[in-house]
Amino acid sequence: MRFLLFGLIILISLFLFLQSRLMVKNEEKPVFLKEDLITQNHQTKINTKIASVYKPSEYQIEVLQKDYANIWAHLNHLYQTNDVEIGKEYYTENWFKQICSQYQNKIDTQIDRKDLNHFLEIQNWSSDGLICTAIDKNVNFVYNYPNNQIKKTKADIAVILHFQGDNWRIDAIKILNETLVN
Amino acid sequence: MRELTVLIFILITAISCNKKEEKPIWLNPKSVTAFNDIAFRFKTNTEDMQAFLITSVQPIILKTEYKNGILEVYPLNKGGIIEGKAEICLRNNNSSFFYDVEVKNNKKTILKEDYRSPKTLNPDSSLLQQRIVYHVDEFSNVIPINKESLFFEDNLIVSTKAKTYQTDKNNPLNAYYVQAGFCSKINISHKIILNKDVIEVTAGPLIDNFRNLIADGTLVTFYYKDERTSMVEATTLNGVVKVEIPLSSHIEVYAQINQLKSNLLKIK
Repeated sequence: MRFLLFGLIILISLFLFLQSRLMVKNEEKPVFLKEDLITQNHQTKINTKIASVYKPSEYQIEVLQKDYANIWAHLNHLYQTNDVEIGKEYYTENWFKQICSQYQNKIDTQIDRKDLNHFLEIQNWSSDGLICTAIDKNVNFVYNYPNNQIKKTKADIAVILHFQGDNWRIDAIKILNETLVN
Repeated sequence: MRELTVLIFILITAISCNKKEEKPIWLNPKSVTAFNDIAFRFKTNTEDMQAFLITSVQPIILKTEYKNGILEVYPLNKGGIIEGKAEICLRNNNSSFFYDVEVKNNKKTILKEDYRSPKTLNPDSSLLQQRIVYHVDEFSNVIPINKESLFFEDNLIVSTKAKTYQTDKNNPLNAYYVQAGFCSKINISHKIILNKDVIEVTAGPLIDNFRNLIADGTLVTFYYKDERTSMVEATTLNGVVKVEIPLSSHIEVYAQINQLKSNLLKIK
């Protein structure tokens, strides 16, 4: 009887040990626990105008502005480095697939792009608060090139944003026009 | 004099070392090109140049081939990109050269996104649903719906028939669901099963005001009174619910869902 008990304990211990070895440890922290230096070091000014039938609340606008600024922080970083992974919390699955389809390696383009200000005109806001379409008007970009050359542009941009997980994510974009500014 | 000669020599050497590399000449410039058709040729003396296409979203590595003083660049992968203004960047160890170009996708499949909100509707409350329509291609470019607009929105009154509706068969995420409403009337009937000494009481088919069968799992309470009042609970399946109560010489039964009561059944 005693041997049977010991045998059972050993069997259970072995089973638990093997199970724990099989488990995939995911040590990646959720987004709200991560320290995101890219968004912390990013500065821009976002004004909004609500042109949608359904009007988001002030709190929803506040969240959108914060997330939209973070999206641009990561888009600028992606533009400079082709680091597709670091901003994945701000991309929808379609967007992530698209940028990964042309990914080979990280690249240092040595071009530092800054988005100085945005005027986000919300065109559609879903009543469940999960979809937002907007035209970002007169976005001022400053490009600093490796030869110290500076280029300033102004652009109108159409964006489709989805609220997924805990934040807004970019799903699709169209640069309607981008013109040089003296 | 000797010192001056040495100084001049050093100066010339320094200037020649700092001499800027000449910008490669773009031999077949195009202001607008399709991404998959990129095959640009540059005249340059530098063999080991890297080439990128920098779109408004990300840089993309281009394949390079150098032959007889001509550098040719092509896309490594066919596919698509975010359309719009872009730059070709040629780079060697010391210098980067940029060339403006507008890039479009050759072929694109337009996906018509039809987002409905709310996703679940109940005919007892409201059948009003918001529809937001936009078009995108498989490369995440927003495609205008027509010449005037990029997005479209309206409100619809959806059907009262309870079922799952799909706005796009290929995209289950765009589905929405009309639930059955609350039960409008309870009809009960009975059957005496003598060999088991029980009465089988059936409620149903239970339907809402729009002739939809009420939701499976709806709790129905049957109250029956012979010498005393008792109750038995059961849940619906396909709009019907059955319970068995003990057979008695005189019995009164009714069923109830929330505040709604059925007809009173007197069994003698």
